[in-house]
Parts: sequence; C-alpha cells; structure tokens
Amino acid sequence: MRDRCPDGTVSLRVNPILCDGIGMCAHLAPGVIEIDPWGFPLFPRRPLTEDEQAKALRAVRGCPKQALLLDGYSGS
Amino acid sequence: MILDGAVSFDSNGHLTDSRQRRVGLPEHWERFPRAQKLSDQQLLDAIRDVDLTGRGGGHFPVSRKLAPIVESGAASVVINGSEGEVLSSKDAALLQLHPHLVLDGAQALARIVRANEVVVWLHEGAAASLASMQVACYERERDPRHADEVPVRIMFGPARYLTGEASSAIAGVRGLPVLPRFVRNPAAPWVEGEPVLLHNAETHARVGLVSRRGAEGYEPTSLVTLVLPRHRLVVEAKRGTTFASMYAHERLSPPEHILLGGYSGTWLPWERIAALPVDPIALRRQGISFGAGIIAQVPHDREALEWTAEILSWMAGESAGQCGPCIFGLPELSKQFTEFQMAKKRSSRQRRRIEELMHLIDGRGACRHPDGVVRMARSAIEAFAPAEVRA
Repeated sequence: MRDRCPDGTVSLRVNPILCDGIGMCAHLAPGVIEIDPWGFPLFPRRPLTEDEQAKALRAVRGCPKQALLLDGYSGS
Repeated sequence: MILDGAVSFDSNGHLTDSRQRRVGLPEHWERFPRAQKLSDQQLLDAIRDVDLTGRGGGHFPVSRKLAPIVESGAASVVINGSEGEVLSSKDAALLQLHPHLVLDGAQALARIVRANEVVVWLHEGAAASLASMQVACYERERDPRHADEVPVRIMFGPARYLTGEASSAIAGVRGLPVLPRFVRNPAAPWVEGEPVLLHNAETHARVGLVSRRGAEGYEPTSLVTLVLPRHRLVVEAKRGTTFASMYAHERLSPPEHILLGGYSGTWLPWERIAALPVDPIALRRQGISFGAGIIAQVPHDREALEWTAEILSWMAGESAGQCGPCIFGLPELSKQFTEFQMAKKRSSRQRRRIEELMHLIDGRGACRHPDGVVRMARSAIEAFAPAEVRA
C-alpha cells in the first residue's frame, strides 16, 4: 500500500504478513476498523480524524500480533 | 541497437533462434567499444540524462533509486534475471545473447556503490541463462580488461512467480526464505541489513550501454516480448515505434486485443494502443502501464476469457500465502471468475460479486501480487464481457 500520509496527518496501516485475522482491532476501534469476510481488518485509506485516531490508537496498542501501525503518529 | 533483429522463443520461453549467437567477450568488445572511460560521477550523470527507468516493470527512475545507495554504499549489486513473469523472455534473451552487457552494467554500479559482489539472481531451471552467465564469468576472470571487477555469485530462487519480486529476491540473496516482505519504501525493498542495489537484467544491460557509449551514444530503445499464439519474439523497439508499426515490421497481423504487461497486466483493445508508441513513459502519460514490456496475444487453442480464468487460477496458486486477503481472496476470485466465464448466461449478480471481491482484495497485500491479479481480471471483464451482461 502506498504511503497515504501527507505532513501532519495520521493514517492506519496494517502489516498484512503479521496480521492473523484475530479481529481484536474491530472491537477496539468500532466505526473505524471493520472485518472483511475472511476476518482481516478494513479501514479508511485516508488521514484519520482526531476521534478516529483515538480509537485507532487503542487498536494499535491492543493488537496481539502488533500488526497495526499509525503512520505519522508522534504521541506516546 | 542491442539485438540484431527479433529473437524467437518457443511458447515455453526456450530460445529457438538458430540465427542468433551468444556474444562472447572478444566480440562484445568489438560490438560495444568503450568510447570513453567515464568516471563514476560522469556515469551517474549520464544515467540521469538518458532518463533510464527500471525495466522490471516499475519504471522508477534509476538515478533516483541510486542516489541514496551511492551515499550509503551497498553490500551487493543484484542482477534480477529471474523473470518470474512467465510470459516474459526479454531478460532471458539478454542473459543468453549479451551476458557481458548485463555484467558491464552491474560491475559499473558495483564500483559506484562500493559493493563487494555482484549477484546474478535466477529462476531454478533457467539452465540456458545459467550456462551463458557461467561462461561469461569464466571469460571475464581471465581478461585483464576486467581485472578490477568484484566477484560474481550466481544464485537461484524457486521457479515461482514471486521469486523476482524485489523484496523476495533480496531476501533470497541474503539466504532467507524467498518471500515478499512488508517494506515501507519501495525504493529500499529490504526489512533490515545493509542496502542492496537490485535492478532487472535489462536495466543493468542499459547501464552497461551507457557506461560504454556515454549519454550521447545511448539509444533509448525498449525490449519487448511479443507473445504470439504459437511462439514468442523478443523485439527491440526504437523510440517512436508504435504498436502498429512494430507489428507491421515483424509482418504480423494485429489481434483484436492484447494483454499488455503479462499475467498481472491489462487487456486492451488494439484500437486503443495501435497508434501509441511502444515506450513505457509515453504509455504512462496515457494511463497505461507497460509493465515488463510484454505484449501478449491469446494462445492459438484458447478463448480470451477462458485463458484469463486459467491465468487467475494459476496466479492464485502463486500467492506467497502470507497475507489474508491474498490467501483467501484470490482463490475465491478465481472460482467466481471461472463460473462467470463458463456460465451460459452471465448474470449481473455474478458480476457484482466479482466486483466486490476485487474491491476487497485490491491494495491489501504486502506486495503487489494481488493488485496485479485484480487489474488483469478487471480489464478482462471490461474487454470481453462488457456492460450489456448487466441486463
């Protein structure tokens, strides 16, 4: 996937090789991450709003495979 | 020109042309005399001035890929000659007929990026290319004009489609499993370790030409594999050659459609491309991807949609099996497409289902394998099963 992250924006990415389709992310980020028919995450391929960022961050931290990334996120 | 006219291959990619001879080292120096010895900086400038792009299919500017590696240095320079795209034979033509031109480019780049070795990365089973490259190494080791060159190592990957994918090939060269990696920067397709400079065999040959002739003496041609119903031709197209003039020159009758770019390419009607130049950059301006320079016609014993369904099934089997949407999506797409192709009456429901699947798969793998499959399937439906089946 291309880098869709203009300066100062934050977007979600998944390392699809690490992702095992456990599905925790969809529970942690409802409305931002959905699950495809095979159990793998679907999310907007664009910069996230602040509200979406907060949810996405929970999913990134809670992913058992550490497969989700927040591009452009500089917080801790 | 590099080639002396079209080179014929059989439909399995074996060189069958008895008029073509492999150019050994003494003849190579006669045919490509070194006009001037370029300094490293002069060669870099010349590569930029001729707008050389990567001939593995991406057509990324070579000088932009080089710049950071010239800074950092590289462990190895890799000649990607694995030609995983099964319809392509242009790299085999170069490795088997002009091995020294390819090695010239790689050795010049090895000097510039301070690499300790050149690696020739081949498909298992590429016996003719292997033999040619081995002899070429033997010839160079004994020639004082090549005394300052780094050692060449010849390595094999499995005979799979993704063996030639850049991050797979680099992993293989490092002794790791030959699988695509999740890389963040496509110009630096490795996960860790020292930089590696990898170019397609044709790209190396073109650097070799620039190193011998300078920017002024360089002819901006394109190598093309013409996949015809019963055999193949590797053709060198001069700048300005159109698809129509190339077919006329080879005395071929134009087909109704071509598959441009091979198994991960795009089906296009002949009218759309006939008058366009056979040139990756000019085609990109028209929104058309030339890929690795493959112009394919349907085999003599197949229908276009039937062949497309077979390709999709084969490509699903060539998934590296690492990413969910590719593992599950490609076999499902292949199944749906085959049903669609075989149906007596194609329903709009089938078509919608295929469109949804393609949307789900596209852009979701670590490498571009699933995206290429989707592009090919989508263009086939547009070309051969147009919208009236919606009714």
